[in-house]
Amino acid sequence: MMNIRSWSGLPFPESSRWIALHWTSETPFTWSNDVLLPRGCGRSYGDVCLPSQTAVLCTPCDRIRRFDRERGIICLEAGARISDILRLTIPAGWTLPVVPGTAQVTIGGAIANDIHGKSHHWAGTFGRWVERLELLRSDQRIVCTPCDNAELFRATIGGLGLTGIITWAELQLVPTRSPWLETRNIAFSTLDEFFAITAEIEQNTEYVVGWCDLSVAGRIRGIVHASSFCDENAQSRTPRPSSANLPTLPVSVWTQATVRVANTLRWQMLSRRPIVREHYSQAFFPLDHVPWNRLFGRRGFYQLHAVIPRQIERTGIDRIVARLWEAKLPVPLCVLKRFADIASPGMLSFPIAGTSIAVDVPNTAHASAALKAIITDVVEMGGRVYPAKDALMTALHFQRMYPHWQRLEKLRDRRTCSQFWERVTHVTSP
Amino acid sequence: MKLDSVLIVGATSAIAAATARALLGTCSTFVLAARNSERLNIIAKDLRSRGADAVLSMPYDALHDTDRDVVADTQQLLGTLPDAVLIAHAVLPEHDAIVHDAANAHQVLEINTVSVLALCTHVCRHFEQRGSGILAVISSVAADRGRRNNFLYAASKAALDVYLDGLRLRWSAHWPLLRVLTIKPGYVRTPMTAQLASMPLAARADDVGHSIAQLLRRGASGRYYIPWWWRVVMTVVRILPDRLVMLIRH
Repeated sequence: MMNIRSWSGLPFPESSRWIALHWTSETPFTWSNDVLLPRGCGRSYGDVCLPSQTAVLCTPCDRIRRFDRERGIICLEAGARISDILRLTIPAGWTLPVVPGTAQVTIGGAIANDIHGKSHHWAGTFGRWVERLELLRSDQRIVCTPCDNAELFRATIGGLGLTGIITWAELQLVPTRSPWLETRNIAFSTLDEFFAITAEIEQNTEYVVGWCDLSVAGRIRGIVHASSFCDENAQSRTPRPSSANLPTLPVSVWTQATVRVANTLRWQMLSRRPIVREHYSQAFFPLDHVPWNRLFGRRGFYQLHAVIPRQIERTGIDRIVARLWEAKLPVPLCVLKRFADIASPGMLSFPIAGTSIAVDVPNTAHASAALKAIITDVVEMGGRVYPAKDALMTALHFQRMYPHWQRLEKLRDRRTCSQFWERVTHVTSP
Repeated sequence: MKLDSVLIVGATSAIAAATARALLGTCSTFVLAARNSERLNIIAKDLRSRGADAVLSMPYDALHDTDRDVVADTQQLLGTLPDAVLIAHAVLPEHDAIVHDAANAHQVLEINTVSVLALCTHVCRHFEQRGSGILAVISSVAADRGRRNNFLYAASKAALDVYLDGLRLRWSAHWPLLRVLTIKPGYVRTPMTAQLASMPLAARADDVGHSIAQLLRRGASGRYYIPWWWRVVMTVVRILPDRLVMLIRH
């Protein structure tokens, strides 16, 4: 039997109860009395993708219903993956305005977590580009748009799959000129430099993100990756899709020493290549080329992904970094990204105007204690932690960061729940 | 081998749908036949949105249309015979329910065997007249040896293997441009197998579809296991003596 796990490999209670949705016309709520949770590719780091009872695998429903090549509107079943969609739309001159770091994400998952990407400074979150969606609830099937059934629409965007099963969605795409991106790698060695560079470069660049090396206490250095689509096709050949695979290692490869070596190598490599021309599959989806989650061993890893509000972003990020150094945690990956002041349509959307920091840390008792302390800091600073990545926040943390959670709880389908929702709201399934 | 057009019978099955998608880019015209017209429509729209030039669909019920010449119907729709025919429909019965139920068992054989062989006969006639074409039929690894909990299904598929072996010999002697492809997938996660409690080494329908599309493009002829290592597994399973198999619970 297949076990239902989350991507980070953290030891949550696993579940082996799942059913598959093969046609959007099916009604899995009538198959049993179980409490269900729709599930896509299971790329969430924490327990938002773990069912209280039974998971509904939605990936078989991945058909395209309509693709309007003139207006760039695509209507598709919610189990379709981003990789599959871009393979179709990019040659036709359209791309998704918001993509995450992996293409192995379903549309349903992208909506349910209201994901963001390196384009937040102009595109905002994924939910802003959803025109319509159909929701399958235990008692009805209902089409929601920003105008019709608007409250349910807003609850479903970033609704963590709790308002029912999204069966299909209609998305607005944006024009693109070629499948190739030109990336400038700009080095920074203080946080101030990072803020100055990104603020300037965001004016004329489509995708911006900062990678940061925190392996030596007291020293910050990193690279801002600034990419835009090229105007014409590059000469190089389209790369073959890589399938990086590795069994989960028995223990984590990451110690402070290996992190230092890996980060130094990466720094050396990137700072020597100021301009790179890459295929979108390489530029957008670094996580698809390395079996990243397997490197952390059987105990898995935490990702802390927090956003600090604009007014105090500088000191806030400083404080989090200082905490990480103080705790002497190995941090093999740290990513910085500025969020613009673009309102997200979802009730529980994560991004707010400010700067977000994401760090991956191998799972140890020491790490979880240190990260919990950082989450408490984030709450005090008025920031937020991303539910899709979270495994550590308490109900108190969550309810202070997301005061609208009760509005979602009111619209939650009573036959739908996740381990995450039980943890942060203390509701229990019947 | 030319592969511009394909007729897929049982086109709403997960493996058939995945194969059709994997054939996009090679094949531009699809004729889809299946029982459920609503689902057929979903698959047709998907292929069209993904760039297929023409997708035609027609209703086909293996239980009631056994004698119908679907190939001739296709010829009428297209104005020409399809380059390839893929037969993909089947049912996997709940074994305990049919062991003593003759009517039900009869129905399974009707769908899995009789209708498929009837179709093959039509394909055989039309293709021999033209002198070229690919006939691909989805069988199963199960056909290689009856197990205690699926022997009716196994028997229904074994008949196909044997028929196609013979047809392949006939064609190889006189019609060098005719191909017979017996496709033998192992466990695949599809609606058909959703009820099975245990599926060791299960493959994804998408991957199986890609493999089948590749075989069609190559113009392969023969028995093909998907993934390939099932050939090794089934060779071992076939030669195990009964007395040993009795000790194995699976």
